[in-house]
Amino acid sequence: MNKDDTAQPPIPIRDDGLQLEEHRDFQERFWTFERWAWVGFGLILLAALAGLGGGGGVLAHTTITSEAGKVDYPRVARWESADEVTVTFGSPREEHRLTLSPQFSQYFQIEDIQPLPERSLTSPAGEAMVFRSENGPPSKVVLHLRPQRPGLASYEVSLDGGDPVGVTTVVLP
Amino acid sequence: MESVLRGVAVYVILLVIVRLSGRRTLAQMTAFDFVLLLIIAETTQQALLGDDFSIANAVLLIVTLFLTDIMLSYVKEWMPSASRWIDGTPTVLISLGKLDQRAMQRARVALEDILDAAREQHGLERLDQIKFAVLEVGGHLSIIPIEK
Repeated sequence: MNKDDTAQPPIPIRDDGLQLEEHRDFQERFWTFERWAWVGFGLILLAALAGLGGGGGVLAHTTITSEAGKVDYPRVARWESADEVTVTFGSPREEHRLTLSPQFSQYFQIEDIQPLPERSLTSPAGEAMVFRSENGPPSKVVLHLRPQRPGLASYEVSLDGGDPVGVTTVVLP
Repeated sequence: MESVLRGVAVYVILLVIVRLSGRRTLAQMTAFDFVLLLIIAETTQQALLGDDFSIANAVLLIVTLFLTDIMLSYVKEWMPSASRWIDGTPTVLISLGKLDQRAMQRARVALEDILDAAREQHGLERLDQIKFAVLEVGGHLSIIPIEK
């Protein structure tokens, strides 16, 4: 036995002759903690099934409604995972306008828009997309998105030049 | 920056989940556990890499994972209480031939597992030939037979 070995604190010998440190009190506490953690795992799964983990589920999306129409947007999205915002315009018009505040583009990359806007305008209020078609304007527009960074994405949406409505999406890492 | 944060986050999350799922879960390698391990590895790999398949990212991740592991070993050395939380401590399941039913139930070790280990390690035939059975930190069972 060299000098280093003797410097280590000795491991006690138990009454039954086994040289082992069991820390039974700690283990009892840890086992209880472990069981509570399993309950926590179960709750995480239930929350995920409900949609709070993003990627579909009843609570993953929510809708705001105004006179100009309604916007279905993700309440919870995932970083670098595809998601979508669906805009349904209310009143029939020759052309419809969807305006997204500049904060939107800080968090989301728009991968596709169905149908494509006729033109797109930028202003300090954000990006406005104008939709028009020969047989009347589309009543529904779908934006396919991909969140670019995790965090709390707060942005404003305005339909047909109406008052902007603030919405928030939690982007999970 | 993102690679380092991803690496540390995945390391810590895996450590917590594996530790909290109980020692027996990953050490008891049945055929299905092996498949489970492969699936976990595949899932983790995607969270680690994201959509960046560059060598720079891979190198950064490898260095991050190794350094986190080295740092954790120092933390365990400096703080024995942290070591207990991270690695756990051995559990005596049979002492002088007497079964500790509560420890077996809490650690999720069945009598069959102990007899299995006894047969494998020492060729023991019966429970009364076992003096000590210890569930080690690594998740495997150590059997000490009664001296003849």
